[in-house]
Amino acid sequence: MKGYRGIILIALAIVVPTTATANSRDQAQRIHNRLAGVPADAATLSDMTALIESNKADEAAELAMENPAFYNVTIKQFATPWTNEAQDVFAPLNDYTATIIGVVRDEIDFRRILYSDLLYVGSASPAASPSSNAHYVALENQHADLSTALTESSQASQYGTPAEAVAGVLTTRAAANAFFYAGTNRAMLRFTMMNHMCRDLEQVKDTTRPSDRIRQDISRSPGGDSRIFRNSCIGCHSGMDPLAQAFAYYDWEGDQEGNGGRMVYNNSNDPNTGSRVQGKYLINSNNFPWGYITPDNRWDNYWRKGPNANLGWDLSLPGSGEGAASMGKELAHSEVFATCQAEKVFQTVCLRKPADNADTAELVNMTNHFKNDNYRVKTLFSDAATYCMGE
Amino acid sequence: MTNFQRTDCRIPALLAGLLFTLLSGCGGSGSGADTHSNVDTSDSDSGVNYTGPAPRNADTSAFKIYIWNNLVSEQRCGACHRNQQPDFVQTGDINAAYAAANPLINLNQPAASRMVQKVAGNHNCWEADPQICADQISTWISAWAGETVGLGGGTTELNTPPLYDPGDSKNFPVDSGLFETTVYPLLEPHCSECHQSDATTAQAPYLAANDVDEAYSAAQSKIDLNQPELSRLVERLREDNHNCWSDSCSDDADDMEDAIHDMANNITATAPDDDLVLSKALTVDEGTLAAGGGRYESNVVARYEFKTGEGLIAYDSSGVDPAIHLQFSGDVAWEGGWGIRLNGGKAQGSTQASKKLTDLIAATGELTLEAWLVPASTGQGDAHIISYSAGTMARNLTLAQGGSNYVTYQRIGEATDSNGEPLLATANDPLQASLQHVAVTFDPVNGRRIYINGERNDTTDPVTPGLLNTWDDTFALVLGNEASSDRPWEGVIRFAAIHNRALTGERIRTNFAAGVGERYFLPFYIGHLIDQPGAYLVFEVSRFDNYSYLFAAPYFINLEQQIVEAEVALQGLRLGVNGRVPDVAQSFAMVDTLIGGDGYSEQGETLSRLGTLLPVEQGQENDEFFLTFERLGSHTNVHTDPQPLPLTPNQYGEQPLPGLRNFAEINATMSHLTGVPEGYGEVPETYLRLRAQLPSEENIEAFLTAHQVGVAQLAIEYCNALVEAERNSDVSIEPLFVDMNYNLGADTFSQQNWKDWVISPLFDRMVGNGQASQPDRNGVESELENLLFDTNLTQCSSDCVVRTATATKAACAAVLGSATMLFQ
Repeated sequence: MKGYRGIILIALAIVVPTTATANSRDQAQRIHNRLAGVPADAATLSDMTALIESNKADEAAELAMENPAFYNVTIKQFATPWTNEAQDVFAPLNDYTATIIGVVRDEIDFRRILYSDLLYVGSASPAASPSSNAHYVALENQHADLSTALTESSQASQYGTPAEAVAGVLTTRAAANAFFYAGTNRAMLRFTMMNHMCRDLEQVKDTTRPSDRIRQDISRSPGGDSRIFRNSCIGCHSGMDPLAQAFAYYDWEGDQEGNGGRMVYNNSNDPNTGSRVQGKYLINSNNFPWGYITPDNRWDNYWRKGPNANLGWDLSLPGSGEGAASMGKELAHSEVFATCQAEKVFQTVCLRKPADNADTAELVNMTNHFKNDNYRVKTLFSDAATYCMGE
Repeated sequence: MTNFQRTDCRIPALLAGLLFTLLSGCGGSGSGADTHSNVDTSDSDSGVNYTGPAPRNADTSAFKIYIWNNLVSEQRCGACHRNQQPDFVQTGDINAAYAAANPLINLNQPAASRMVQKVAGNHNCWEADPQICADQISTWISAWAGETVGLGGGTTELNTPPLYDPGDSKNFPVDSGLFETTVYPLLEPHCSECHQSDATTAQAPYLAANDVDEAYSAAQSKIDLNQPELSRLVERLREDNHNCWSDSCSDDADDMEDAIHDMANNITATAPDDDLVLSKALTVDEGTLAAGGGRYESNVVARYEFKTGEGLIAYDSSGVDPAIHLQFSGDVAWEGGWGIRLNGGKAQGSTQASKKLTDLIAATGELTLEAWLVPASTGQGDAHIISYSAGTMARNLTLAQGGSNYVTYQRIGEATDSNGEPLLATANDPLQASLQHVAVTFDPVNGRRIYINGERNDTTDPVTPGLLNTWDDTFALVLGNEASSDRPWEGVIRFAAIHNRALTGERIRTNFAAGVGERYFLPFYIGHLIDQPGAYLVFEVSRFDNYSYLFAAPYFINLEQQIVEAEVALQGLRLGVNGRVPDVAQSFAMVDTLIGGDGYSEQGETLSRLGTLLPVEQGQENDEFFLTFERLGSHTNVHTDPQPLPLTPNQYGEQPLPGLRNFAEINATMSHLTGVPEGYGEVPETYLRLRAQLPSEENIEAFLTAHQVGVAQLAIEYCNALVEAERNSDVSIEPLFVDMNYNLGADTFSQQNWKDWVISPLFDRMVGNGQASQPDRNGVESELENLLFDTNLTQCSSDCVVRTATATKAACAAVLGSATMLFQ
């Protein structure tokens, strides 16, 4: 420890901001802080102040988002917890996070993150690989400016993933590493819902859906008490299992920790199962022999009926299909997907959840603006920042 | 009864005839005294030495071995039926006894034999419970059947049930008014902390939502209007102590039950909706008992089926004397559908009777311990499930639970110690808190093997197999604990058996496939709906556990036609119970098929291989089931789900408007304010070391002292980098203290120099100008002057040149690490 450290600690925390009514510069500074995570320099602050005073707060926000820190700090931190099971904000940069940053920067319809062939890479060495995160770690270690360093690629070209297997960020290496590792692939659905529908399974439990698609591995009498199954387990599994069937051909090969594993996808019959279905879908089949045996990757959205019909499913879509991409589209085109993005951005920028009627009305406005602006995420950030810039 | 039969394909095998070997082995073991009047059934000990004509054929010979030898003693049927009609144990001519016995016996369904049913009806049983005698006779008949009809699937002849319509039941009114005045007043104040959508940790169902209609909709599946005490709302309080609101969960449960009673009392029971497409109704007992057998039990020496359902004794129904009946002590309860639940108690046999295990197993040197189990949890360790032992340190054989693995201890000659160690544990955590079939085998060649649900576990016996000559015949058989009562296991045992041969993997799979408990076929009449007399949908039904029935593998059959030419559409099959159709677990609601036509055969037409659970409500004798259809032939009734209420955004009340910068924002901000890049010098290393100590979220209410310490340390690092860059004239860093001369001593500068060259630049860069909510300039400068001058930071007597840089860094870090940076 260097000697001076003890000396200056005495004076820390004494210097606190005074409170006073905010002026336009305060509003500009708050917009910049909340969007970029860093204060504005003097020139930018003056420009933003002028815009605010001209009733162009949205333009001030757009100016703040030109600061590289908006991508390097704010969007990176926005997305990082989505990419791992522990929701760890300290997780290293990876292809999931980088792709979200790229999509936000390039103003791509945000719904496509759950179904299109999207991947953003940098120029660091080694190149992005399906079996290593080293490329993204290198970018991070080099403190690369992610606002300029990322370029759009594709999982098919970069990773060699079959076109039919690509489903946006769900099939990035980071997501597969986190949610296809071991288990039964239900984690991919659960965390996608948590991260992009703002609902854990607890919030969509519905015991009234048909239970025909619940796999054999789910005990119908946990600890010898079938009431638990009938009143609890079934509430999630009746809807989750027919949706998670979309991931029946995926698995993670290799350790979860370390840097060697990769996502695998059954293009043809798996010798262990006799079909394209991964063995993990058929494990513990004797827990309930009369349960569902997964034959393929056909998914059905049972939550289109019952209480979860109010999640706002897109009625122009069929509500069923084969594979992860169409299932991702089913989720992304729901009303709650858009609402969820607005809620997440509101909390990121305003540093709180909606408090009152004014806030929830603003959420509705933000959601509508987001949808009408081709699902542009920066519009959400702009709206939230101007709403919460203070009076 | 009809001529139509359905082969039970799930049961590939009945019994093989190896019981003769077993019974011969009993010969020398019949002397063990017991508290029950068991009789050794071997020929020599039955008191009868048969000297009549030889059996005419193999079947008669098998009859003598399995039936006559077991029943001829005077303590059993021999007291009367040697001479009294029917004289099926007469001693003069075995062929005449065979002829007398045949009308009393059903080899296809041993349990349905007249002889079995007569004894079950309390006709001179030699045990305390008539069912035990019935089971023993049934076992012997099964063994005879294995010899006589060979191994094969049992066949069940479907009985045509009585035809009647589903009964009345209470159903929820459309309006929530009744709910609002009865049950909701308990839910809203006591459950809303979690069970509403905008709770901090929202937990569905939202049965305490602010909107009473939403709450009513969510609560319906948790309320049983017909039997309020079975409502989930009541059970969770009474049995699980789930967030009770008073000191007494029992009182809270009573209050909830009373509230539901109040609601139910205001609702009149009605017949099922006229619009429903309904089959005829029937109870489980009106179904047809599925063919028994299917298990391989030729070498069973002790067996527990737990059929009694009452009392404090679990009977050994192996038919091998002496029976090791198990006496309950402590917390042991009967389970519906055959089984016992152990909650710290135990079921223990006498040492005298248990001796037969040593006698019969040591004689063959082989064994199989087999059980159907439901561990209460995977968190139990050192919990003894089935043990033949004397205490914690002495045993012949034990099956135990060690977390998510099964563990076996066994004396094997000199290879293991008196406690049966080294133990053998399963690999790969196969134990689950779910119904599992477990079999442990041992033979002197292969050693111990463990099978879970018919599959051999990938574990290897660590010891060289040997003989079982070190077994101690003074130990006792105990279920659910150790003989010394200090190794309790919690869970359900639905079946247990000990064999004195190591069953092959195939035979273990046979026994696993046979399942556990009684199975029925329930034929639901649908002929009136499709204008087809004799038409039924048949479900395989069994008691799944205390709380549910399993309804599985429905098939269509016409008992009056071998060919059904007409194809009939069937869609949306739902099961009803006691006059209502539950919303939950309707696994056949998605069925959409045609019945009849080319898909139909004499054996019927399978609709689904799936199964589902229906609740036990009024007991097996009274629960009445029926089917409904969205479409069956020309009858339709579209099932509609209630329209959900629109989503409304949650509101979380007043929260702080400002927040903190999080770790990444702090790092970026410090870099921005000092002009030192994040990757410069030792900065990245320091940041990585400190970042977990910085605020991980922006919530200002989560701010901790430790966060400030981390902030201070990072501020020092950045300011150190800045000042050192200036001292070294590193042009990559834009200087902040442009007028400062680091080559002069700190004591050479005036206070005004410090103000102009350090304090002012710091304020201009790091605090800024023109904002109403920023710190006051005079106040900040005053604090920094205090730091520099009043603490003598700028005074020195030696190393004064170094002190210049130190004092500058200190002033820099004081501002950079302050709330003006941290606050946003």
